[in-house]
Amino acid sequence: MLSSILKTGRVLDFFTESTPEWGATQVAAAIGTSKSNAHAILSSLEAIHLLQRTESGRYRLGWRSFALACQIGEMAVLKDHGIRYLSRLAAVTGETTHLGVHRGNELFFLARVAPPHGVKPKAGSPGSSLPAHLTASGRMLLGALPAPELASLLSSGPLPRLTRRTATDPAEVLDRIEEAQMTGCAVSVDEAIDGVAQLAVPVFDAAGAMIAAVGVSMPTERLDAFRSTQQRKLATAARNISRAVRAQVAAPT
Amino acid sequence: MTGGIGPPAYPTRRPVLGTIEKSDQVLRLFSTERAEWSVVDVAQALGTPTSSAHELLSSLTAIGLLRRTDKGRYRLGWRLVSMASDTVVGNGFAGRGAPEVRRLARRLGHTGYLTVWDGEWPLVLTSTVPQGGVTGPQMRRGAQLPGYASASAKVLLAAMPATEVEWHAATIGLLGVGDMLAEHRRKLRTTLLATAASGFGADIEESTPGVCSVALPVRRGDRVVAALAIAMRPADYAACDRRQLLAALADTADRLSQDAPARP
Repeated sequence: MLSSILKTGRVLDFFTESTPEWGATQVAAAIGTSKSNAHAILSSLEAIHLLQRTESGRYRLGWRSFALACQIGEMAVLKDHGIRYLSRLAAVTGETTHLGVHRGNELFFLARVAPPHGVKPKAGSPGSSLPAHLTASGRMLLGALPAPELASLLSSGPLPRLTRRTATDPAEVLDRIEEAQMTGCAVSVDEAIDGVAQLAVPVFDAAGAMIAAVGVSMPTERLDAFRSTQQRKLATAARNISRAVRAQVAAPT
Repeated sequence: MTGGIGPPAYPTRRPVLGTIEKSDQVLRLFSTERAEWSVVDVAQALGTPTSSAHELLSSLTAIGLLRRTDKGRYRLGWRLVSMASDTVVGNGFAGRGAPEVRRLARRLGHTGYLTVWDGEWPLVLTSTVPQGGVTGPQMRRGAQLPGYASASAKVLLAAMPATEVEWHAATIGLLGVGDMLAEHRRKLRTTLLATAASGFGADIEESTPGVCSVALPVRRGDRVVAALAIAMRPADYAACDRRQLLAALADTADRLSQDAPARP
């Protein structure tokens, strides 16, 4: 691994919706490097347009990431067809549905449809992310990683806890990920938010690679009833989205 | 635009770190037409040893800018999607760019689109094609518009310092074909001065045959941050009330220029 690129990744991590602007001094302090080194990274990222410089000499994310994200063929299909099937699933089940992709050790939410009586936590809104190990969709997607990569990700540091019931022991998380791979459906109960349970199933591309997960969130007391009567509909939604991706984004030859 | 066009030196440019420059070269390889690259292909394209390409690709995968398929090839990573989302939010367009463009396009009955300068080209953030509106690949979300002939490009370039415009003209060419001829640069300079003076950009079939467009700037304070444009067929452009068209554009551009409301 190139340490300079890993450091660049850490710098990019700082730029979020809640902290959109950073200066060289702040970045230097946050990554423990000299101000000149932080400046070299920031101005290089500006030169390739992943960052832009504000009038006050600070930095923000640049539009290059938008241009690159639009080059991801599956993205448009996932968003367009994803919303359609998520809406249908939310309408027939009455529960909140969402579509997420895996990003590092996080689950990134691409889309969410919340019906009138569905749960609407701030976590899980489109554009937000949650630690992957504690969400059903994240567990499903982590299972697609090569075993050494998954082991390294789970052992790279303490796993964040959001509730009393969040699984943070890497061995326990691994068990749940393996169970999700075997059953084709991942579960998380009161682990991301107290009183909210999630189920998730995978979306595959034309090459058969798992690229996203369709999830459903509900009050925990409705989980058993959902599993016995509605889970099939969740699987159908994921199959339909996979079919749309396969139809519109050809497998590489 | 301020001042005249000088020598091709963009004074704010600094030396780029080698690994970040290489990363840029790798990211440029990926497109919708060629979404997957192997280590060997990347090594060939960059003219580097396979081991260096492997190290670069693995590192970019580790930070999420690329992802590795189960066949060991590489694609652009989902992290770009979350960065794109944060960029839209950070620039105050989340939840209102697309609805405002949709309303404008429906009201006028013509194609509407919002573009920003991505560092090298005008980039379409969102577009709406109403029933019967002109359409084409250049109107789609994520499309990069012709360097200087489009109405949006004129608005965005007219707001830049002359040295920066000259740098783009000399290095990227603004036409995608390299350095611009002196004659083209002179024409560009005149066009941008006229755009800055009139407050709007116009493209009468310059960038796309059969399409005319008009664009106005979207501002944050004194800065132009985007261009709002309407495109139509030449016959519709000849017949339309230009004053009404500009007033409708200005109305929407003003709303988009206001600070974004705080997100709940």
